[in-house]
Amino acid sequence: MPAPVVTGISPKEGTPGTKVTIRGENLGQSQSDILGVAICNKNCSMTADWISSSKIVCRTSTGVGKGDIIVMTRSGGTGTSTVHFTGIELKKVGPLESCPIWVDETEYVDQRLGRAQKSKVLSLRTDPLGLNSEEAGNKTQTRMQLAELFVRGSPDPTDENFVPSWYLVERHATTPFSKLKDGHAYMKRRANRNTNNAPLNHVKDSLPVFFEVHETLSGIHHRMVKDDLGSDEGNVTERLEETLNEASGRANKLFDTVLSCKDRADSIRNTLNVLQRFKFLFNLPLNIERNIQRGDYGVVINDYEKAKSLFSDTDVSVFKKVYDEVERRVSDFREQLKREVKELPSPLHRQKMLIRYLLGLGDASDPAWDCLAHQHQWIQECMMRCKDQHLKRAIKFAEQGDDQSRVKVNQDYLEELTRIAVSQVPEHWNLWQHYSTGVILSETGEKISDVEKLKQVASKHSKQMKGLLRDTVILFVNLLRAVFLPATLCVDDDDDVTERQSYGVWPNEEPLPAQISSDCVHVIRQALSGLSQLNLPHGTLTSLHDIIHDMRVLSLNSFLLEATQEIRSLRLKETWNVNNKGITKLPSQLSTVLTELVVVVRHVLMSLPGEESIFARVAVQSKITQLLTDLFVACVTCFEETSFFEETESDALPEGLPPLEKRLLVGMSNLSFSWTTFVLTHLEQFQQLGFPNVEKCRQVCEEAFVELDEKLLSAYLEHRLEPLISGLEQGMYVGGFDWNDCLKPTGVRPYIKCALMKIITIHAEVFAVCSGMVSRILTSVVESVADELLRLVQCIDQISANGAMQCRVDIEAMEQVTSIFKSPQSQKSFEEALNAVPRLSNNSERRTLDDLLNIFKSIMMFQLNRFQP
Amino acid sequence: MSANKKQNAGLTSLHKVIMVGSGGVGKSALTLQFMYDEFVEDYEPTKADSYRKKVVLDGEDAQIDILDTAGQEDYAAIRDNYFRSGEGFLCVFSITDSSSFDDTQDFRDQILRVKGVDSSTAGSIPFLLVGNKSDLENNRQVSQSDAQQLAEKMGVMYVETSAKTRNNVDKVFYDLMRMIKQEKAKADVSDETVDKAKTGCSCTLF
Repeated sequence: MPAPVVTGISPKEGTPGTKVTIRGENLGQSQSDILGVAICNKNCSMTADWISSSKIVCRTSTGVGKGDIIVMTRSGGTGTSTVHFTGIELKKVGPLESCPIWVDETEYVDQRLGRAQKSKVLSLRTDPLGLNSEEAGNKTQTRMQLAELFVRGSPDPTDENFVPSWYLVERHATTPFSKLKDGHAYMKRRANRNTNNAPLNHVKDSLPVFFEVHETLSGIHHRMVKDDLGSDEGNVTERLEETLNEASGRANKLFDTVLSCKDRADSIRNTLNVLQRFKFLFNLPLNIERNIQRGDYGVVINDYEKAKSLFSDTDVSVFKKVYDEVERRVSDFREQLKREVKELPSPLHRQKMLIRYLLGLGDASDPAWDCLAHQHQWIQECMMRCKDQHLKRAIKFAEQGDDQSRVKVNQDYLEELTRIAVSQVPEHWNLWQHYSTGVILSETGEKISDVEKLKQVASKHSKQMKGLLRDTVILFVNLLRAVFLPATLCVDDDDDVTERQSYGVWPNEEPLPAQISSDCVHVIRQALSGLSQLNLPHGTLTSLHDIIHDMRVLSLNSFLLEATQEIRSLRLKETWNVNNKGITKLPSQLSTVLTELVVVVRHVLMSLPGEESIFARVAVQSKITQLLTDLFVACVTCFEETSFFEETESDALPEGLPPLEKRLLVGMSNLSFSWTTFVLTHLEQFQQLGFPNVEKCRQVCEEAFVELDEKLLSAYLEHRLEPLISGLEQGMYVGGFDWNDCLKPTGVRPYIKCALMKIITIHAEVFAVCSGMVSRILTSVVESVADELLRLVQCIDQISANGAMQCRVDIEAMEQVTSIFKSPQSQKSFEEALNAVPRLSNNSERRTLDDLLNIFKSIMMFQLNRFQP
Repeated sequence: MSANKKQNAGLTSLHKVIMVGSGGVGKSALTLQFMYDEFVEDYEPTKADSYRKKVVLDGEDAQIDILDTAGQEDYAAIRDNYFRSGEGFLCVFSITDSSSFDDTQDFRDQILRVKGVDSSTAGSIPFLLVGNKSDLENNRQVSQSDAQQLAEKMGVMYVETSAKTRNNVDKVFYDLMRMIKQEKAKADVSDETVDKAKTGCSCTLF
């Protein structure tokens, strides 16, 4: 803003104290913008009243003569003026005269005392020129004219302004010049005489005067004596005295009222002057009150500073009284501000402003630090209050058994708490930074010394501040731990139950659902990233890092556990719909679960920069390894339990549960399919994700798979072979058959056919489930059959040639038919069985035997098709 | 001397205007309206106010110095001094107050007396007769023709203004300034002719 220019003054001259209206341009933007007003080089700032930027009203000070009117503003600097004010000196002020300004009456001696009455005793009896002057007739008119001619003078020779010319013109206008010359000589003579023996001459000259005086004095004396004698009572002087006293008393009585009026007038005027001059101070208490109400705190502070510098060490009791009042109001105001500062939440700039006001008001304490401490407490209270509210709701829901709402409350709580931390801690920290750098006092770099002082004070608190911040973060972390990680919530003193309880005992099941802990990690991470942008002191956020790590481990644990759980529950979902590869839906469901797990876990494992890897700690490593192993073992268990579905659980038996044998077969098929298709892949994926000791896990898992596979196979064989094997012996001796006494063989005996039919049935069953398993299972079956045949053959006591023939036909038929499923063991068993039978005696028998076998094969062609390679 | 004059002319010229007229006719209102575009409603008798501002007169920078005098008779004694220093006069009366119109003749006479001119040379004094408060047509007591007649008798221009609506406010000030400027120019010319006569003489000497 440009400098102020004064272009108008009303009025343009006057005595000190004249109220003048100053007009011009840029005369400030507000009362507080006015730094000063000077008229004729005299400061009039005290009375300056800002009306508008083009108008100021003030009273002139004691400046005398023509001078400039200078307005100085904060915004425009020192101004100029195009008009001038003429100060008129105030000569004196009478005691009963009204006067608009403060008059120091000690400076103005009462002029009446000094006013000497001119003595008129000496009168001119004679003309000093010794001439008989006749005065002019038209005297008055000439005198008027003369008076105009000789402005400053007097025709009277006794006057000090005596003007000889005037005297001559007045008295001797018509006197001839020669006479005047004579007169001059006469005067000279007289003057000479006077100088020679002046005293004597004077006495001589004045002798008649002395006589006159003497006569008068004698007359007075005479009359006094006469009065004295003539009076009734006492001396004349006594009566005179009495009369004088009476007169004085009466005079006093008469003037008492006037005098007291005058005194009062004086005092009122003084008071008025004082009031006028120190209007600022006297109005201050009221102004402060008004400005506070209006919210102009800045003005209050300015006024207070002004008053403080002017009146803080005043000795005048009136000022003291008023100043005390001001102080009281200001201290009330301070209290009010302090209360306002403690009203939270409030935006940072408002707090700063309030603190600046408090500092501006010269608050002796350290309001910024108080505010910080209070804010810290408030944040903690907020968090605790938040905890209490949510805990109450959670307990209510827990009582009602409404798990979903209870979990929701947990999430709400987490979000609310984080919101508090993320919104309030930065405010807190910013306030501190403003405080510690002194910005709070002045944003523009003014008041450097004050700022330095403030910085010093602040630096004392820096350690405490760090402590406060850490406390807040720890409280935040502990509250979160209390909900989500109650086991890890460590209290300083284990016996101190109240402290543990203060963080809240939540009615949560253990462990939390994994998704929640994962979300929780996400939210806390956001909080951390928000807080770490603040450049908080080192070490403040350590506990936050810890809880994030713990939460991540927890969520990983939970995910693994949940997956395990889900896998366990999958068996109930088995539909037994076998596809063409002999696989049911179970493996694909398992695979889906594992794939999902991998995705989720990958997400959990992703560490943000600066975060510790989950597997960095050994305790975590072993725990996770165990969980992972459990997970895969659970897969095995799932297959096992699905296949060996106990009848005792028949309540929940699903419709269309296939017979045990089929279930075993399907189980085996699923198992091998799972192992080959996805289990290994998933294990590899976990290894890639950085899971520790996956190899060990794989070994355990493989063992479990192999074990279950064998268990299923043996169970199946047990179920299927038992009737087959027992049928062999029964069929062999059915109808009292005796090897020693039998007819010449006409074909393969029925028990072999029966056994073959049963094998074919098994084959069909296995083939129907999974063709891939046919050879493996039938090989085992053939082995068992060969074994049994061997046992039966070895058990024959006696055998005839026909019997031997028959037996050989039977065994060879069996051997040849099942040849594609032969194994070394079955081969060996068949050979031993054949060796146990007596040899054929000749080639014709051999031929007969081959014929019988051929007939058998041709008869059974359709049935035996199965066994063709 | 002529050099001095020219130097002065190079600087911005200053025109001293005096506001005269009876009390309450609106001298201060006219002045404040002209100076600050501000209309002051409340009446506070003026003693003697001084205003000065830069103006552009016919494309040239100039300064106007306005002396706003007291209309009240109490201050009549000090008027002479003010009138002496004035270069141009706005003689203001209120069209709603016939007595203020009657007073204008007295002011005119006083000015001519102080300036030491008689009615024959009165034309050299820049003077405008101003009838203020033209917005209060309803309360008019002085007819336009009466005022015009008086102006013709005086040999001056008559303008009606309104400090409230700012009607003709700038016109009266600028017209008066132009008149002052013309008078000054005339004076310069006469000065210069004197100068020229002198230099002419000296030339002939050589």
